[in-house]
Amino acid sequence: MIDSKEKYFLGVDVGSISTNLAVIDNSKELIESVYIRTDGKPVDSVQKGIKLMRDQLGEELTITGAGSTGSGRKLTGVIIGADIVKNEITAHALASLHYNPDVQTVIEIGGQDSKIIIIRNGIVVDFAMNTVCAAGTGSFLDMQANRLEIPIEKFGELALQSDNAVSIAGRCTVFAESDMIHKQQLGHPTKDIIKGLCEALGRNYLNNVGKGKDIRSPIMFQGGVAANIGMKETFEKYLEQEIIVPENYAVMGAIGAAILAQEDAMKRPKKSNFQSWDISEMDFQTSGFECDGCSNICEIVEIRRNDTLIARWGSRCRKWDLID
Amino acid sequence: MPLSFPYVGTFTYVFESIARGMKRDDIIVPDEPTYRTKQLGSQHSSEFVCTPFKMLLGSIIEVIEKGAYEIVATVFVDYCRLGYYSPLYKIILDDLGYDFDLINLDWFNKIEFFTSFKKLACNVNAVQAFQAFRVGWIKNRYIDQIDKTLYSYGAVEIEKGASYKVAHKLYRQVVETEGMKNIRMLPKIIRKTFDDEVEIDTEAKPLKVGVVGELYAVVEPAINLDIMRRLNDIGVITETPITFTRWIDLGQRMNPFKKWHYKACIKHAKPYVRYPLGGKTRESLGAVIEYKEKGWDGVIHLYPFTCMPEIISRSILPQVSKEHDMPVLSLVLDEHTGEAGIQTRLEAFVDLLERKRNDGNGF
Repeated sequence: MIDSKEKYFLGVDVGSISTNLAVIDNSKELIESVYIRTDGKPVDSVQKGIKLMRDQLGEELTITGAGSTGSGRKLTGVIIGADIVKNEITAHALASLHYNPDVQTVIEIGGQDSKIIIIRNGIVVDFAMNTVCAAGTGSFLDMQANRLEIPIEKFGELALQSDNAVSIAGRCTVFAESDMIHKQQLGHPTKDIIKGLCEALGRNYLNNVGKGKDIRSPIMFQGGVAANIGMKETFEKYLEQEIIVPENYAVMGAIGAAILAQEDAMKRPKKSNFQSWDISEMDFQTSGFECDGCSNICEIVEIRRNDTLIARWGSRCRKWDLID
Repeated sequence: MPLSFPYVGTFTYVFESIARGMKRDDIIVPDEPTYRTKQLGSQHSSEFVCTPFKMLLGSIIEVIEKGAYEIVATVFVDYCRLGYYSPLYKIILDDLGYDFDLINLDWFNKIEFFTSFKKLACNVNAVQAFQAFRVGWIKNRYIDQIDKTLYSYGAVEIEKGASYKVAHKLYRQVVETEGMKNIRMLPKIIRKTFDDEVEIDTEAKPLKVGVVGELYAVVEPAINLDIMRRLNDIGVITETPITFTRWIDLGQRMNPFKKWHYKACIKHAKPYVRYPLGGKTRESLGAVIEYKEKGWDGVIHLYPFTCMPEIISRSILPQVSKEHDMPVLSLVLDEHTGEAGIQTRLEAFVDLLERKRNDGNGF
């Protein structure tokens, strides 16, 4: 599978819940991917992810370019030595377009963010992200799955078994949870509650994130929540259109980052900044302190690799900033 | 009695100039709002009030702590909750047990306006007071000029941060310049200083993005997380038509030939909203069309969480954007300091604009 003449590109997507890595070849085909939980420790999870990737691909494989994305993209970029650091909207759109060049709408629901990307003729023309509310995102589903003691992987299947969804308020997670508890105490079966929850979240997404957007087919549904078949059904029910869930729905962000790295390397051939596969053995220390220069009390973060300071950021006045 | 006022973006410099012109040596200049200001403000206000209310309250408490007694709270009212700001501040600050005197400069209530103004101008006669005000509105033009130059030079500067350093020096210079003859020289000095001290990349073809929305959200970097500078940092020229000129610049207001940007915007917005709804509802909508006609690439619309008028514009904007093929990004702002969200949206928006301009060919 691995060809020594071929060029390989790495993409890393560090989100709030999961850390994904993808390696693609020069024709943007996915070679290998890794999906692990971030568990609130982005540096550790990137190291772990790199180690897993190395174990799967072997150390001989050289990386020609690396990209990082996701909410932890800046930190990740410094750790792995990324050649390009891009936002997740662009990354997701590119990955979707590679998977299906005709795609017109991308629904992406991750751990903390949910977004809609409107694409026409292969160009992103509009996008929206959830604003001040996290209802309907992966972390809420995760929390509810925990509370009901159902493995999150089974959530969707269970929802499909029900044909009588109970009504749940999806506008706010606090309301949704109290509704769920109320319905559960009345004796409704769990599968009906879960189906009701999926429908509530789907409605909330379409009214909140998808508000005023022209949703046209083909519609792609990706991100961690796409694993939930119940959510896919909900979207099909409300949009009355077919929803495509790509095979690698969970690592689309990472694939997008890898594609960005590949395009960047094609345009500006240069030596990659990518550290090496030994990242997992390096010692990364992050430390923080509060600057007392003014009453902003900025929280400054320092990142050290094997005791050398490699990056520092966090000050509003930028006096501490240090990024190579 | 020590005089002060809450901090409102670069307008603070204008206010300082007017107060100095009125020979008020006892002014206390407010500090830029910080994390503490936000905390103070939200601690003492009702949860669902608009964010500018909280920020300004925090700033007022800070100046009172610094020893201010007379405080100019609002300079005008509007159709939205802005009209309640000052009475509410009085109740809240009284409850907190502070000793202060709130001064309202409400142009629509002429009697109150002139009594308040007289209180402010206690050290000078009417002619001198008017002269000080006039100097204030003229200096306001130059402060706007610095802002505008800064937001375009900032995008193409070679040494990052150079134009910001120059701008801060110039703001002080504008405040401290005295004598009408010297003041009239300022535009030339501003232009020359920027040209001499900021080296720019003349090859760059930066995108241009207009920033519109609620006044305070647009002019105060502390609430909009320094959005102008963020845009500049990713190489985008920006400007905002929303400044204080339209209210305080009596000179331009009396000029019948002056073309007002906001009036043009309101005209454009007519098919969507016909009457004033407070805030900048009509202006935000019309600005999309105005900037499109000017050949700019996109518009960013800022509004504070729970701002009533801008929620209306936010719901109509997608339609305006679609009908005029102009990308619009609406951003809601609150006390949060998590910058990742705003940065992601800005970068994605700029990517979108860039690809739109290049017609889909690369970034």
